[in-house]
Amino acid sequence: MNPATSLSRIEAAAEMTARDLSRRRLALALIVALPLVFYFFTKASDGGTNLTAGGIGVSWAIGAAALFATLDARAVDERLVLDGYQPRELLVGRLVLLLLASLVLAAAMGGLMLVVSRPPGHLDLMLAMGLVAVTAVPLGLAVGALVPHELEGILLLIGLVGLQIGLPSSSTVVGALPLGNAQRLLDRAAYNNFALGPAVAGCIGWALLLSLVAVFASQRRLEVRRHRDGAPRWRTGLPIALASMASVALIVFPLSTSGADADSTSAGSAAFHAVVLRWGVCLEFAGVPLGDATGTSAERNGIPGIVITLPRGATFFVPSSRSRLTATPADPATRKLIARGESRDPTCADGSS
Amino acid sequence: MDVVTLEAVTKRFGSRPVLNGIDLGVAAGEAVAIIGENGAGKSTLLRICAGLIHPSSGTVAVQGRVGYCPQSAGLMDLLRADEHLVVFGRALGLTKERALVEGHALLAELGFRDGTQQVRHLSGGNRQKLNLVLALLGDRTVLLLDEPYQGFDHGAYVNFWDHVAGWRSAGKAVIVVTHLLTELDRVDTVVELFPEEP
Repeated sequence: MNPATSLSRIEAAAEMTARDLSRRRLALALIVALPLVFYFFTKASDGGTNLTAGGIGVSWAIGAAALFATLDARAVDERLVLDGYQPRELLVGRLVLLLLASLVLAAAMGGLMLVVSRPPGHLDLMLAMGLVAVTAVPLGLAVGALVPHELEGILLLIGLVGLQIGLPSSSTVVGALPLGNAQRLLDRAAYNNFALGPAVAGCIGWALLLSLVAVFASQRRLEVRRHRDGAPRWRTGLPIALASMASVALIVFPLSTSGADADSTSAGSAAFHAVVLRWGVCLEFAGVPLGDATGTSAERNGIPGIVITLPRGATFFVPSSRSRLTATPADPATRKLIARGESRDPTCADGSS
Repeated sequence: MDVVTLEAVTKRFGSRPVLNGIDLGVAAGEAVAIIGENGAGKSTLLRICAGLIHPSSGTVAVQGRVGYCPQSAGLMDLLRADEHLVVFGRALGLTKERALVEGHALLAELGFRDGTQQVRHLSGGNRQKLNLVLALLGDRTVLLLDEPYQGFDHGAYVNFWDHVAGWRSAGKAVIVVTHLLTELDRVDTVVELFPEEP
């Protein structure tokens, strides 16, 4: 294979995807609007920092765009492969273009969340958003190459995203999901509650594995029998095998390490929710806004957990060792704030019951 | 010498037989029409020749570059006709300029002159003309055309069979799937397929 020719075909595939995508104006508007809706509506409803909601919105938008870019091009891909493209050239062209566009979207959304939510982990947030893009694009491409029709693909994406929304970041299930490690990084940006290395490794591992799945599935789906030569066209078995092993190792590494870390420090967003549920009404009566929370891992009397800090210096400790998250005021000033709230409404502390 | 050779080709989809023991040889400069009722396996046979479907058994040999025109146009709705020419031309090693010049010439022969419109805005006939031209682009040895004239107006339809004669004279092997029996005198061989009994 002539590398220059292959490169020009990859470029043509990327250009084709770019032109197709750029003419879907409504779809582009929705791709931008969806993460904003996820982020702002969730923020408005429970007052949290909701970086996770913004990140999941971006991943959903990007994954769906990649899925439909693959599905819509199926008929033409078959002919292009027959005429001389390699399936992987089409895939790489699409991957590169979608990745560039997704990184722009993720960076813009990350910047917005930095300004609005002001999380302590600025770099963690931007890194997490970048990794959301890096993982969501191959996820959409892999699903698009594997499923027979649009419905199955979209249900698969909804299922993955729904699982993430419904479970805390510390859940082992979330850790095993393709975008789970990115979710943990987003939580880390707000609460500093997950180790950086394993989560980054997990993201990269999943991105690599999903890319390989997409390559294999599209190669299989678009296979053309070359009657005239019969020569084997797949001579990259060893590199592919090594890449597969590396990606699996990167995914398993965080599962074997960060799970313990997550269990010992509690889930950042879940801890914040515990504060809101237990003390939210009291804090409102005391005039403490519930937005812009930060969290740090901590230990009290030998019990691991997370300290949630709210505006006006209100701090709460949420132990992670109990099956049900409970939040307690962590300092005398916070206890005074709560007492002030209770003096105005004695029942306000019963919000969690 | 045959550039397309099929020997004892069979194809089953699950337990349903579609083709059974097909032998076919098509030489350069020969035009073959494949006819048969719906479900007889005409399109399947063409896709096997193209390499898009594997036969269940039998051997297929095709020499040279294949141009395949599917029954339903495999096009991108939001791309312009010209952009299709460039993308397909790249597969064939053509530069952008060469693909456009060659593609425009082929489209003009079929009476389609505006390559700047997006495919979604084209009429059914013009979509089909673009579909056909993409199969002709570059130097093809074998043309596999699956009812390529669908949506053509009468003039373009007659013109199409003139083109078949021209491609045959140019030394190409042409296999056309057709339902229309009035033009069968314009091909060298007619192969009729019958639905297989399950």
